[in-house]
Amino acid sequence: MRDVWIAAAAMTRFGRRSEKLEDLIADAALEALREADCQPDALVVTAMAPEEFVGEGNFASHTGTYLGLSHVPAIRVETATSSGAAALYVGFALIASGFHQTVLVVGGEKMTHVSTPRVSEIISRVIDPHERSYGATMPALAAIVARAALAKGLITETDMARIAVKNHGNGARNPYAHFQRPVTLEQVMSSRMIADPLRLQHCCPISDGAAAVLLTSDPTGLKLAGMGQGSDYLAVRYRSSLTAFRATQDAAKAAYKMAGFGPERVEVAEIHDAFTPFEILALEDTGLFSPGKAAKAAQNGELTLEGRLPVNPSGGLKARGHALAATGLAQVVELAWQLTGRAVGRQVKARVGLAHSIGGMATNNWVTLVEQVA
Amino acid sequence: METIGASRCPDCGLVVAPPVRICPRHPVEMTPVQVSAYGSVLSYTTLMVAPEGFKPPLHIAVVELPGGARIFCHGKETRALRIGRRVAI
Repeated sequence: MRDVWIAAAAMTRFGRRSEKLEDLIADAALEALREADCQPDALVVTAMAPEEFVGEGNFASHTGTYLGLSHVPAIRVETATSSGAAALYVGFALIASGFHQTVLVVGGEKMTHVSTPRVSEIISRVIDPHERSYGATMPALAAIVARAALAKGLITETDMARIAVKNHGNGARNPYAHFQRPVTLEQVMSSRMIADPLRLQHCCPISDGAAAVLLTSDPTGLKLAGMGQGSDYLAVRYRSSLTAFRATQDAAKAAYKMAGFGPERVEVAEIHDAFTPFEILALEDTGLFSPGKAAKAAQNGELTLEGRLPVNPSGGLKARGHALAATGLAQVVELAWQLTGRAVGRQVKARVGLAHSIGGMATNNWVTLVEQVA
Repeated sequence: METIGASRCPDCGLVVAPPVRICPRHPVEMTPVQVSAYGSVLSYTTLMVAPEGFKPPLHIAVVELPGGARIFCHGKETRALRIGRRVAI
């Protein structure tokens, strides 16, 4: 298997964008191509639900033609909310296998022009049909997980709020973030209830945006050191634990194995905090903290930009935003910028970064390790 | 005693509800069984923002039934609900 390197990484600002999806994708893709000054010999495209959100199908070819890349193979990848990470995995495999030399992986989502109930309904289709038939939405399932974690003493309501405060603080320093303003603990804990115990400020926003990562077989110094995937039952009710995600645990193990190092070398992490309690649970599922230690680390300030392990320097899904298929790629863009000293305003000192992406209610998760080796 | 329809895997013994054709753990056809409709609450939530077709506040609980099957159900309210509490679904 050949080593795979990041040649360029780019993204649009996430948020409520007026541009059409194709132009958000083009902005990210062309910036990545300009940065690396080269052309790809394959294109991996991801959008979670362009048929529903923007009414476009055959989306790989649609994107290939829009980008002036209709002469190379174009493949669309979709694994619900982890689609960006899954697309990166396919790009990785295309190069590692020797099939291709330079692969452009690009993803985007455009949702804010659609009404919120309609967006929620489209996103809810990632949930098991029996559970959905009872009105279970993503916030509902996340609330069921959070309630179980609270009852077990893994987290407190203050811990859940503290993550939102930290991530908004980071987002306020990131010009690419959807929300660039801090929030206080009081604001989070008094925001309106969405799905008890989750309040509005525990939940990520609906965002538009796009991100692109250009992969190459030529060493660039920025290595895609490891990628791992983990699966779980679509049905939350089939799982033996509500509070530990097997899909994250398996993805992390596979990524560390491929990289040849463990969590002790990770110095910055981008975690899928679609709901703030998930950040704490994921830090333990990825092995970055021992079971029962992540909430304490958050309390002690260890996850801040100045802390022992900065988590979500971008602001995370909570503040950088969650543009579905763009998110898993935006996490890797943030790591690329952090590891090469280009994360202006929120720079941390790190040589190894970890990105964690959740698909659906943790049915198809990914962990990616990026290493600065030059 | 009230029961509901469920499925049991003839190989690994996993019981799931509602019934499914194939065991979620491996590609083996399931056997129909009936399980008790009384179980204990694993977790729950109240949705204040309900999806289309439902009215808030919407109370949803996950209940574990004897034999291990877990099922989603609606409740009238969750004020007195606690994890571990016995309920009829």
